[in-house]
Formats: sequence, C-alpha cells, structure tokens
Amino acid sequence: MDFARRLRHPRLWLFGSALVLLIGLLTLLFVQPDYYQAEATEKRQTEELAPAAIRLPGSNQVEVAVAVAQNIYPGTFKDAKPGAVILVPQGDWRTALLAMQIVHFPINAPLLYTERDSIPELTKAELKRLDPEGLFLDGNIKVILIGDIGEGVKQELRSEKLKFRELNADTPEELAALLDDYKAMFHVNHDDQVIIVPKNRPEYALLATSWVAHMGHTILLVGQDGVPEATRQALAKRPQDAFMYLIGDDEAIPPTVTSELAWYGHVQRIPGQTPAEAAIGFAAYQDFGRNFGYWFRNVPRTFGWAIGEAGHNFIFVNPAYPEMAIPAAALSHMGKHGPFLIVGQDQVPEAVTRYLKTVQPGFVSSQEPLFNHGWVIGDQDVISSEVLHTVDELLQVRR
Amino acid sequence: MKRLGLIIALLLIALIVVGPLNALRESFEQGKLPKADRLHWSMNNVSRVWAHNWADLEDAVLAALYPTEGQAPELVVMVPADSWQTALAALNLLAHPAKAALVLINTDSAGYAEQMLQKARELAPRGSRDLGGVQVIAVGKIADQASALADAGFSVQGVGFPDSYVATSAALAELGAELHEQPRVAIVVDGEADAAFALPAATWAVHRGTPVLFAQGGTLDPATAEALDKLAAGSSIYLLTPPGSPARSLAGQLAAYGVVREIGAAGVVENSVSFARYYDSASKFGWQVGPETVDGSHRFLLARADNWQFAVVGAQLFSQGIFGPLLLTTERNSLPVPLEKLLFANRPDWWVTPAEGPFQHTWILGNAAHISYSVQGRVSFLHEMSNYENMGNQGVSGLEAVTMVWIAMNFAAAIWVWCHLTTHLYQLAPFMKLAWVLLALVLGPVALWAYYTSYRGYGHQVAKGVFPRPLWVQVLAATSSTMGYGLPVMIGTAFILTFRGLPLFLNSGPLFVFGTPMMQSVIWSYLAAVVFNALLFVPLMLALKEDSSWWDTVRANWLTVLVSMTSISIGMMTSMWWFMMEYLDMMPEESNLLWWGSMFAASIVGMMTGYIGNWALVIRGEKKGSM
Repeated sequence: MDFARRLRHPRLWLFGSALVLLIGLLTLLFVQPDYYQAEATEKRQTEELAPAAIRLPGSNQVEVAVAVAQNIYPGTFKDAKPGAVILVPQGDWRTALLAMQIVHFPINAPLLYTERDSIPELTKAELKRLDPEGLFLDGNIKVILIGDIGEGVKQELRSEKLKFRELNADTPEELAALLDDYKAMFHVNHDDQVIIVPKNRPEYALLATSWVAHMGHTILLVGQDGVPEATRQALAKRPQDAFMYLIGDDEAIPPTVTSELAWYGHVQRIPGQTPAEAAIGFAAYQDFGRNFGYWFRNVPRTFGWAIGEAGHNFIFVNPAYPEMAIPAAALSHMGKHGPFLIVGQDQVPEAVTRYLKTVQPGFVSSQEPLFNHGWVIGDQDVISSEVLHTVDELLQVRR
Repeated sequence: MKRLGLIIALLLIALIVVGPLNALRESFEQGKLPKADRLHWSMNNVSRVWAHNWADLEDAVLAALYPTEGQAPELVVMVPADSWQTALAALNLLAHPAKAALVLINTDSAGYAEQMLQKARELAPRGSRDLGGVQVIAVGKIADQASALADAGFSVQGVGFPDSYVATSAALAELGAELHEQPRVAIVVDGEADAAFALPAATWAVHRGTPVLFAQGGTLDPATAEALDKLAAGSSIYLLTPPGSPARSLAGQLAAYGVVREIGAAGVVENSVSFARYYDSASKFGWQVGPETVDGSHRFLLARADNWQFAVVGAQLFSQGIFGPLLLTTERNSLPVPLEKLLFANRPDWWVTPAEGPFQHTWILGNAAHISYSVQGRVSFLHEMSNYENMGNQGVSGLEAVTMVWIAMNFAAAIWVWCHLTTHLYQLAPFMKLAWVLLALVLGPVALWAYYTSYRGYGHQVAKGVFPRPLWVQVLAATSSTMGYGLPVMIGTAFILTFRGLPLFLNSGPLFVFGTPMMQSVIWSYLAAVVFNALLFVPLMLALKEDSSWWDTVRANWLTVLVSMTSISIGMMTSMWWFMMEYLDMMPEESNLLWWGSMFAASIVGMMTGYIGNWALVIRGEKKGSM
C-alpha cells in the first residue's frame, strides 16, 4: 500500500475539502449570534405611557432629536444601528426640514442638532451611542453635515475619526436643490415626485417631512411671490415631467405660483386650509397614475399616505415648535410609519378628533385585530398630558 | 511576473471563497456597544412599564389607564397580594364593558384596611352600573375589611372566601356572569402547580371576561364543578396545564360540563407560546398568533415567569383598547428560543408600502434587572417591518436561498475542476488551469459544463495543451479563458470598492451619472478587468505556447482583450445594473448575500454577450480557442 501515492489521489482531496466545508457549515448551525451585549443607564424619569400613545420626551429640540433617534435605533446589535447621522445647526428650521429628505434608505440616518461651532454634549453622546455603520455608497462616511456648520464641529468629528460629508448652499432653495442632486447620485435619477412647500410657513412645510422620511421623495421650496430660480432649475432636471404636490393654503402658495409650477409638470395641492386640516388632508391623500413608460416597461406613480381605515400610526406634533417636530419625522422611516397630525399644547383640533374617529379601529375579533398607535413629541409644555390621553382614547380599539 | 500572477490569482480565489461568508460576519460581530445613555426607554416597537416592584408597576399601569379624574375607573377590584390564584381569577371582572382597575393589597402589614381605603380614594371609582353602583370589590381574605370602606362612604362588595381560592374563583365566575353575559367558555388551570403555567390565561381573561377556575392537582373541587355546571349550553373548557401534569387526568371528568380542549407545553416559556398560538375555531377561543391570520397585527405583553404579581397587575393594560397574548420569559438577558421563534415567524411584512402595516408592539414589564435592555432591543427588531420579498434583515428570502445554493455549487464545481485538472489535464498551462478554477468559483455548474464541453474526448495524448475543436466550442473555450480572470477581477474590484466605501462625486450637471457610486463601481471594475487581463493574465496564459517576450505578447493581444472584455461587460454590467437598481431598488451592501447573487447572475449574462464578441474574434483568427 503506497500511502504517499494514495494521499495524492484527487478523490481524497475532493472528499477532504468537501468534508471540511460541510463541517464548517454545520458548526454554523450551533453558533448563536450574541444579540445581548448592550447595556443602558438606568431610567431617569417616569415617562408618560398610555395604551396607544407614547410620549417621546424632550424640553428642547436637541433632546427631542436624541429621544427620537433612541426610539428608532436601539443599537443593541449591528442591525439596529443607522447607516449615518445627519447633523444640522439648531435655530434654523429650514435646514432641518430639507435635511429630512435624505433620512430614508439607502442613507438611513437620524437627524441630530448641533451648535454652529461645537457639538452639544447630548448630541455627542448620542453620536457615540449610535455608532453609525458608514454609508458604503459614499465612501463609508458616518456623518453628513447639512447647512452652515463651522470648523469647530468638523474638528471635533475629525478627532473622533468620524468621516463626514458637507452639504451647504447660500440659500435654502439652493440647499433643497443640492440635496435633491445628492439623492440623485444614489438612484442615478432625479426623483419625479416632489413636494413643494412654502418657505416661510413652517407649520405647513413640516408636514412634508414624515412623508419624505418614509418614501425619500424630494422637498423643494417656493415663496409667496414666485418660484425661485434654484427650484426652477431643480425641477427642470427631471428627465420628463415632475409630479408636484403642494402643501399650504392659497395664501401660503398663491395660485400664481401654482401656474408657474405647472410649466414643469403635474401639480396638485394637498387639501386643507389650516395646518391641522392639511395634515389630515395629506394623511388621507393619494394620487396615482402614470409616471413614465416605454415599450416593455411602465412605472406608475403613487403618492400620499391614503390612510382612511384602521391599523395605522400617527405622529402628534405641535407646529409652534417646528424644530422639535421635524426630527420626529424619522419615526416614519422605520418601525411605525405614519403621517404627522397636528395638535396644540392643550387642545386637539376638531378636525383631528373627527379624523381619528374615522380611522379608529372597531373590535372585530381577538385574533385579527387592527391597532392604531401614536407618538406624542416633546414635553408637557409642548403637548400636554390631557392631549396625549385624549388622542390615546381615540386611537384605542373602540369596544 | 509569474509569481505576481500567481499571488493575484490566489487572492482572487480567497476573495471569492471568503467574500460571501462576509454576510455572516454581520450577525456574529456586533461592533462596539458603549453603555447606552437613554433619555427614555421607549423603542419603535416596544414600550416598557418601568418598575422595581409590583407596587411601582401598579402605579404606572393605573396612571396609564386612568390618568385623570375624568377618566376614573367605574370599579376597583382589590385582591390580596399573596394569592396568585385569587388575583388571576379576579381578572375576568376587568373585561369590557366593565371599566375596572385591579389593585393588590399587601396583607403582610396589619393595617391593610388603611391601604385599601387609600387606594379607593386615589382611584375614586365612579361605580359600576351593572352591579348597581358598586365601587369597590374586595376579593378573598380581604373581604372582611369591606366594612372599613363602607364606613368611609364607598359602595363595597365582598366576594369569595378567606381560605379557599377554589371557592373564591367560583364566586368570581358567578359575579363575572352578572357583569357580562353567561360565559360559554372557561379556563381551568392547576392551582397547586407553578403559577407561571397558569399566567398566560391572564390577558385572555382580562380581555374577554372568561372565568379562570382551578383544579387542585388531579382533583376537582365541587365548587369548581358547580361553576362549570353553570356555563351556558354547548360550552368549551380549556385545560391549560402542561402535558403529563396531574391536572390533565381530569379531562374525562371535565367532559361532563362541556367540550374539553387541552393546551400547554412542558416548559414555562413554551407553555405561554402554546397558549399564544392556540385557536379553537368552534368557540373563537385563543389568540391564534401564527401565519394563518391575515392581519399579523399584534400586541404582546412580556413579563418574567417568576413574578406573578407583575403579570397579573400588568395584564390590565390589555383590558380595554389594546389586547394580546402574555408571553413569559425566564431569562433576564436573552430571549428564550421559543419566544425568538414565535416572534421571528410572525415578523410583519408589507406588500405595497411599509405604511400599510401590520404593526406589532410589545409591552415589557419591569426594569432592566428583570428584562434587559438588549432583550428589549431584540424584541423591537423582531417586530420591525420588512418587505415580503426580502424577508428583512437576518431573514432568508427566496433569492438569498438561491444564492446560497449557487455558492455551494460554485465551491463544489471549483474543487472538482481543480482535482480533474491536476490529474487528467496536467499538460495545460498553469494559468489556464487557474482560469478554470476561478471560472468555476463564479459560474459553478455553467463553468463545469463549459469545461466538460471543451475537454471531453481528449485524453493524455494531446501534447502541449492544444485541442482541435469545433468552432462553437473554440469560442466557448476562448470566452471562458477571458472570463476566468475577467469575472473575478471585476467582482473583486467591485467588492473592495464597496467594502471601502464607493466613491461619489457630487455633481449637478448632465454628466452627474458618471459620478454616481453605481457608475463608479462599473467603471473601475471594467478598467481593472481590462488592465489585469491585458497586462498580466493573458500573457501568462499564453506564456507556454509563444516564445515571444511579455511586452510583445501584451502588444499583440491588448486589442483582443479589450474587445473580449467589453463584450462580456456589456452583458454583465447592464444586467448587474438591472438586478441591483431596478429589481432590488437599491444596490445592496457587499455584506448582503444578494450582492453576490446579483454578481453571479450578471456573470451568466456576461458570458452570453461575451460569447458573441469572442465568436467574432475567433473566426477572424484574433483569438485562439484551442487551449
């Protein structure tokens, strides 16, 4: 028996390699990934709970943004972490509003606030906790700086070895167009569906954010006096017509502006003559039909939440604090996707009550229930307990 | 030169073997996890009722349900905190339409009458219409203190007996029938066994008002029998005890009062899962958590099995507008496998848009010492929506399964080709051999077929590796030799670029397409494949046959390589684009199996277009197909 010769026989190698491979793969069956390595600090305060409405607390926008990020990304293992983090300067609601359009996949990033020249402690700690994975489609950057951010912040990021990209422009209209271009880099196409919001009316404009966090569409700005040049140029970049959806009453976006926009494609105004009504108008809205097609392929468009029945989620915000409301739109990016609804600090608008009653689940069976759920954004100074419990009752299953 | 070629070829082999396993790395390596500094403990799909002990929990739950005076309960049910049986049996009083709160009274301290009075004052019950204005019900051994409450002006009713939880549960069933209609179903649990086996009944009782009655091991008390006898005609009795336990022997005896169904499993956790899954279509009893329901919209309550007070007090959270099964865990810092399986199997997925639902939510009872932060994170992840086709993160979709099988076939094909080459075709040029192994690693069975077709019928007699073949096989062999290095170089370049983060050149001009990460990946992969083939691998493959210098070989062949690679790339790149950008919507990460799946599928298309280009080259005599 010539063992040396036998050892050279390919059959042995074949069996050997196959066996090693098989054993390797089988051992994987016994390896359990450890998802239980994370710990957290003790709870600080008793938060307000109700069966169908949960408050995400925060006394200022920095806290609210962190509270929202903590809700979405527990970070207890790799798959529960974001791709990147968006930093915007606080005190500038327009930048935050526009930044929300890149929250969605593939970027997958929550929005946090920073000072222009330094990162607040809370934001810095949250950045560390989130430990973003890096955006593989853009050089594995971990932070995206949007708007006018000073050298101090960049220095801090460099010292933390957090690779970042800056996106800034001279005017909000140009920033909107720039962010649209940035998104186009990932899709190799400029998004045909665009939300047009009034640049001086945050209470209307912020309603766009929960939708773009959910779908990744583009937000562009208009003024009461006309369509800014940057917005025109951005609209013209769509290969065919744009599909434009306007949020705002006739005063916020006058009919003259609407006609100007119509040069660039299909224009529809989301119904509602007050912010609260417009929120509901949007929540119930849907526009669908053609987008484009050629020969063997057609791509339809659908736009709008179209929520007219039970089994959905809502984000309750107070439009008097747009910088608190806007980061909360990221709640529509993952988990319980849903539109913004508008409430006051101590009152629920009549229209909101009516809408919640329309979509309130009735009891059908114990096995096939539909539940509604609400997030209430900010401390009691922003939205009171009474409001929370009022909407909670309307969200619970009616028995 | 040869050494460089060999090193690069081996690196390519290693990359294609190890690369797909990178997908596994994702689940085993969690990265750094600094201690989370939380502002709150809420997550997208999990809420936590934070409490150190049951008294805390009771305060939190009642604050959530009855926050203001205007929303006060109609009825307060008080039960002693030392009898799980009494507390569990009292939960049926809380069900709709009663708006009732449950409070536990600590009977260890002598002055518990004072405690009861204080609770009654705090909650200020409005009085139950169905019970003639009764505000407080005192159950079991604390019923004797009812007079203290009555003296303070509350309308009080005492129910049950101080020393028999069996008789008390029968009395509670009777009272429940006054509040609701006469029940058609009852749950029977073993009062002498571990409470954890009976607790899953809690959220059902609190939701539907179903009476919970007690067996005592293998004996059935007359009080229970009497209560069962009062059930409406055609009733069903659900015996919730683990199989083989003494109470299971009662099934025959219970059959006298209705149809008996047995529910339960041996472990505490499994037992709660089996109750959550259970459904009896005849009586509509059971939560039926499973794929057979259309709306996978669920609310779950997650509590520790060793703390019955938490489970019972927390259950009332599910008495009104939300409801769902109670799941029990025995672990602080891991989710027991039966729970992981239940939740994973019921992960919601969407068809049209993630706003459509179904949405799931779990309520965790207790603080991080009871159920850890990591477990909460895991549960939230297991409730996260994903689209049906992808099956979400950590799920295996159909496409991913196909990719896995393809990868396995690639490995097998490469091993086989390697063995065959070294024993039966040793006269082939070494870099030609490596080309076949590499091709097999990408194209698996397709490469095996090409290999077989190219060399069948030739024995050891063929000298110097020249094989006379029909034209179509010549083209096949010529295509294969270009692809052998071309495909791995393209895939390897794309992998390394993606791993390191693709370049993105932000540009708003009409040529922005060339700065996009997807286009960058295409451009660099193509260039790398042309350069490596023209400068390195083609000269090496031809080395044994032609006695010209390296540079002469490069010059003589670069145009051929360019045409051949371009024809392959036309099919490969366009189909890769289609798979990634159209079919999958967005380019997957290199740690995603679908990235590899797209690459392999695109390679097959590349072979088809490459064949056309190589046909032209072979008939013009630019390229040899006889190697």
